[in-house]
Amino acid sequence: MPALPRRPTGPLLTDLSGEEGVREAYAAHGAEIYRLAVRGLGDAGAAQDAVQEVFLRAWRARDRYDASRASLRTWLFEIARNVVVDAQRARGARPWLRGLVDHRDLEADAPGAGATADGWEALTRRILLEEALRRLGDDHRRALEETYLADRPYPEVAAELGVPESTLRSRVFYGLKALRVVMEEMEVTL
Amino acid sequence: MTARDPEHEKLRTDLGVYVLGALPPDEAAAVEAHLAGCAGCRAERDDLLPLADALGDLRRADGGPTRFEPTPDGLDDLVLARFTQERNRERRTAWARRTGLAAVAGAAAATALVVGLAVTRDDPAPAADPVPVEPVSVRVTDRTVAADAELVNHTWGVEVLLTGRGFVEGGAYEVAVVGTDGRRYPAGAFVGTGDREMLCHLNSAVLRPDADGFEVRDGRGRVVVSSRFS
Repeated sequence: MPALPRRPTGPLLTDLSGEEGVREAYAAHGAEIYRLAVRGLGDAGAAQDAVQEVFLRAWRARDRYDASRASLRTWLFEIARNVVVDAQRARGARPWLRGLVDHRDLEADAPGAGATADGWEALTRRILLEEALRRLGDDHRRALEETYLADRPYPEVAAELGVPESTLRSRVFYGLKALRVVMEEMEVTL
Repeated sequence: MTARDPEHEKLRTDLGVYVLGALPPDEAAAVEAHLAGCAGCRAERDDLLPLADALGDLRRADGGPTRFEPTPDGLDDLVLARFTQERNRERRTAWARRTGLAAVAGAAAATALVVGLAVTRDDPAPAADPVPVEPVSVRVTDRTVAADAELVNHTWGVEVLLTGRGFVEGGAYEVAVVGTDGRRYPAGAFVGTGDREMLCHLNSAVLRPDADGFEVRDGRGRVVVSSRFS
């Protein structure tokens, strides 16, 4: 996977009253919200609609956003949850959706009732961790993905990467430390 | 053992593999023996443990390398186009309210509004004077859909007045005006109303002479209604 450019992680403009604010909010969180919507709805087209709706609702409710109470991300994610629930209700229960990994987390007991609080929280945690991994350097990310997430033996991964196993272990260690720093920059609490 | 001791450094960097549970048992025992006497490494381990927990959740959920669904090209444009459309609508409504247009027009068209609001979305305030419209032919590729369209030639771009029924209830549809350059420009979106007739005002930032047609696509990106302007 090619190295992706790091995105700015400094203080975000939270004035959503104008185009620049919406543009900046999308640049900071649009990708995360899109992934949430894809996992929640299981459909790329519906997810695109949902992302548009999230930013529209955020703009309409901009006067109610209080940066001292929640980060912009937290607030947008909460809006995203409502949008996903509404979209699920609008299209009704679709049996094929139940096969999707993340959809089962979102489905409440009653069909069409929408995302459960626990399911949504677990999904947002995963999306944020994936985003943090994406922001790591290539060496660190690959070390963590190949050894832990893909559960492959260290000697095999080290050989594939062309480095000694000790180097791979070191990348895992410093990769975890870097991941912690990135998550702090993203203001995500573990 | 000091911080610069190679043996210490090896044990310290093994903490990553250790908290992820992948250290062979003999090496894990050596790390644990070291931890018992090294407060610095215990602090490192405690910092890393929450990350190991979080990665464990991810591994259980996804069972492999993480998925990074790429954000579709142009989604930022769609977000901004919808924002711009909504903001413009709000401004028009605010202007109409200030000038009393809405009250006058609202009283005159009260019945139409009651019917209209039940089945339409994003309708701007009705204008006081009839607006010149240009009927255009439409091609419907979904047999359940019936649709007609007219254009309004605004100074800021062409508006498509789409009347129709048979769009899947609750389904999302996107509309694009096709420019004479062949590009597709966002003109808004709507939600299908099933058998109920709907009227949508779809605004684009393409001037009438530069507009060659429009397309309505369903949630899967299939064109269900299209038009070529003469």
